[in-house]
Formats: sequence, C-alpha cells, structure tokens
Amino acid sequence: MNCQLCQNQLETCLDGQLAEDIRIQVEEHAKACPSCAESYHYTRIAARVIAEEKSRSFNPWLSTRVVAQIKKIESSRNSAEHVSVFSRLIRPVLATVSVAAAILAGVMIGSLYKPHDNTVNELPVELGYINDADLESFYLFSED
Amino acid sequence: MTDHEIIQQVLSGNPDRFSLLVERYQPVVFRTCMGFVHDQDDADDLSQEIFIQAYLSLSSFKGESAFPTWIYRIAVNAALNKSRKTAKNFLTLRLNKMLGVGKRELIDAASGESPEDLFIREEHRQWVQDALDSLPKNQHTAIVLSKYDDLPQKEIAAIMGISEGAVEALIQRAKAGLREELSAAAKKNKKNRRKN
Repeated sequence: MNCQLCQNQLETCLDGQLAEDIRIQVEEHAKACPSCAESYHYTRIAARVIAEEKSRSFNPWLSTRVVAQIKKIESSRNSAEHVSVFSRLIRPVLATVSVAAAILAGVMIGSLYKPHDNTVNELPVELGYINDADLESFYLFSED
Repeated sequence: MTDHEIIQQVLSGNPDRFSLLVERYQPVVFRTCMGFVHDQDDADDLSQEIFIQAYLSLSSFKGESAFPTWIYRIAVNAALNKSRKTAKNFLTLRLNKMLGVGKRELIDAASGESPEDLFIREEHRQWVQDALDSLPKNQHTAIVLSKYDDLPQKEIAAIMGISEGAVEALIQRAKAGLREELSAAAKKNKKNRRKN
C-alpha cells in the first residue's frame, strides 16, 4: 500500500467501514510510515471533535420560540397596516410645517433684538445743557 | 404532511404551522450551525435567526429546489455571516478565552476523565475549531455539509451551486488543509511547552 492510498482510506478506516484486510493494510502502513502515522493521528483528532460537536443536543423549545417571534412580527406588521393613509400623509406635512414655523419664530425673535450702541444721537438731550467745562481739570496740561 | 403542503398552509395565513418545519429541520440546521460557530448556545440562537429568515422569505420559495436544499442555503449564508462577524470580535473572543468564559463544556465533560485527558481534549477541540475556521469559505462549507450533516456530494453540489467534481475537490483540499493546520498547531504547542 502506498501513502496516497493509505491517506484516502484513513477516514473510512476510522469509521470502521473498511474491509478487514484493507484496514489491516492501512494500519500496518501507518505504523511504518511516519507521514501517514501523523495524518492518521490528526484525522482521528478531527473526527473525534466533529463527532463530539455533532452529538450536542439542540434546544427543544426552539419551535416555540420561533413561533412566538413570528407572531410578534405578524402583529407588528398588522398594526403597521392599520395606520390610516391620512395619518401617513399628514405626519410628514405636520413635521415640515412645524419645522418651518420654528425657523420663522426664530427669525422673528432674532429681529426684535437691537444691539445697544452709545452713539451721540442716543444721548439724552438734557446733557447738551450741562456745562461740564468747570468739572474738567486742566491741571495736568499746565506748566506748573 | 409534505413540506410543500405545510408551506401552503403557512402562506395562506396559518403561521403556527411553521413550527412543523422547524421541528423537522431543526437538527440539521443546528448541526450546520455547530460546524461554523462551535458553541451550543450560539448555534441555537443562529438556528432561530435562520428559521425566522426562512419564514420571512417563504413567499419567495418557488419550489424549484427542494425545501431542505433551500433551508441549507439560508443556514450556510447566515452561518458564514455570523462567523465573519465573530471574526471581527476577535479581541472579545480572546478576552473570553483568557477569562475562561465559554468553558462550560469543559466542566460538563468532567465525567470520570483525568484533568490531563480533559485538558488534551479541550486543546484538540480548539485546534480543530481554529483549523476549520481558517479554511476558505467554500472549503469550510463543503466539509461542514459533508462531515457534520453527512450529506452526499450530489446534495452538497445542489446547495453550493457547483458540480459534484468541484465538491469532491473542495472536500479533499479541506481535509488536507485541516491536517496541515492541526500539524502546525501541534508543532507550535510543542515549541511553547519547551519554552516554558
């Protein structure tokens, strides 16, 4: 038996589905050939892990969970259908109008505000009659 | 009752009947999921997602292929998407491994085995899972459908939409890839042990 033939038969051999005489040939070859022995070892590890994962039991309540989920989806679908066409149309219109109203209100409130500036024009007229020359000191400008 | 009759009943407004299909195909869908996610709880959650997805697209099932083929296709696509997302959460997975999260199977398996045997078994499990996950998508799918679901090559070809010859080639390449990855993992492990 050559390596190619041996490696092709490894899994069948591990499954126990190989004819007795071929199984013996495979095992003897694997004992003598280090490369095939390594393949035999790793194939056995993989087969054992896969068999272990396959044997895990599934959730027995899955169908109940799935049906409950489906009912939830269906009820939300039905409630969505019951929403009238009128409200479906009016909702975006209302949203648009309210946004426009908010912008308009903002602009109006903004225009009410006038910044305060201390220009002469805005000074009270009475100030013109006050002679405040005496109040000013010329001391700083004088020589002595 | 045939699958087709059940589907007709579901489509005519009797969603409760879908539970019959779930019960019928849950074992195969679960096994397929296990081949991709390798965790019982994740496989259960993924199975639920697959059946919900199948229900939602049931009206698009024209009966051109057999129902099992159709559900397998949905399962494989969903499982591949899930494993891609899991790969993105690689950091979380590593952290979980470090913290020992997800080692429930290890504790469950403590049925008279020595701690050393248990450790080796867990190590082998990790090697095989990593080796499977490192395979290209189509090889991974082919090997899962062949080894986890025990499907004949003809059916795998119908599910994957390729020829039987291509399936055979994919399975052979996947087996060789698995052996290589396992051998590399074993060598790496030996090196690490020598270092320690």
